[in-house]
Amino acid sequence: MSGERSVGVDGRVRAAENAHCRHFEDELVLLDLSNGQYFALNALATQVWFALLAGKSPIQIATALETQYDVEHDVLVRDCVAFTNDLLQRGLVVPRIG
Amino acid sequence: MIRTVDALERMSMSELPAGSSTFRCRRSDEVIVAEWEGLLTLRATATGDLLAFEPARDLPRHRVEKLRDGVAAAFLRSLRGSHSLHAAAVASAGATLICVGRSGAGKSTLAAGLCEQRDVELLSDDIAALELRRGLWHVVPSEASIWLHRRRGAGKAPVRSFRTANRPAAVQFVVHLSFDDTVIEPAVRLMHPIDALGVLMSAMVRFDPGPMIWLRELDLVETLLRQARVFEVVRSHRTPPARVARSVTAQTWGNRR
Repeated sequence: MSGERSVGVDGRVRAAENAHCRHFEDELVLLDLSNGQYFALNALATQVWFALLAGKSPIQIATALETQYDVEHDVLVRDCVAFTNDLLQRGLVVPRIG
Repeated sequence: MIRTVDALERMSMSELPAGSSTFRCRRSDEVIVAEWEGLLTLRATATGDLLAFEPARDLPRHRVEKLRDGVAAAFLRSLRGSHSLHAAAVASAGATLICVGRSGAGKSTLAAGLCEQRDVELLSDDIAALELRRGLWHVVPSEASIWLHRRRGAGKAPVRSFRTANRPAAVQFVVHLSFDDTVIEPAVRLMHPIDALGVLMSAMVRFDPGPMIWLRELDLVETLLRQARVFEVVRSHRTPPARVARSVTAQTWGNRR
């Protein structure tokens, strides 16, 4: 686990090698192949997950989501950073170097 | 935005007739040796052919039969790459209803209640053997009796007065059982697919979990959820089992009959 690491609004991550994802209706199931834990991502979290994997930072994702959701920019940024760090701490993503 | 569906756990042995038991598995030359401490030692080939079935000497015959038809058979199936669910299963007119839930959730009690109904037959009490036939997951008959508590606080004992199925039946319904003593009438409602996935993954019988097994199980459960409807059944401890069985029937086979 990478509990001590975190990313900020400009941080970028990639999927960890042990993370296996599978679409399930409009949600996503993430399977951690290192320990067998499963996670379910709802539709919004799935959108953020794929944006992170595409190399977007939390602030870029929040800005893109602003047009789709009636939520204040700061709240979206905070949620995207928190979600990214949640994934990081669970070992499902790792920081993208360079 | 993210939540844990479930954590995989080695199958609980708490429902074995002699109570909790430690499971160990080792390879000795070309022989797989599986041990359920104090209950059973089983020797098999890596491809699941039984070489020796050695129950503890002091076990009564019906407990030996339960081990043979339950965990031992499931272990051999797992060596052959087949899967089992920790579940009771019954069939009516070729359609299987699987009961899953934690230990003590009432799986056997519901199966017994359903078997009291006309045309319902027992497939399994504790461990349901899954088999893919013509693209559909079936439950193969594996256990011939249901184990029930004769009185509160007493251990389970076999009840043999049920009709048993003699052929596999395709899975059509899954019910996940839980208690809530605040409810008056039994509630039977369709589960969200992600919750249903968690329920079924939790019910998988595992002896040697690992990435390949988890991925195969995910494939299996995904397919199973395409063919079966999964219901949450919540009722009070005070609700008579026959009433729960009627409510479940009404939402499942009852809709089809």
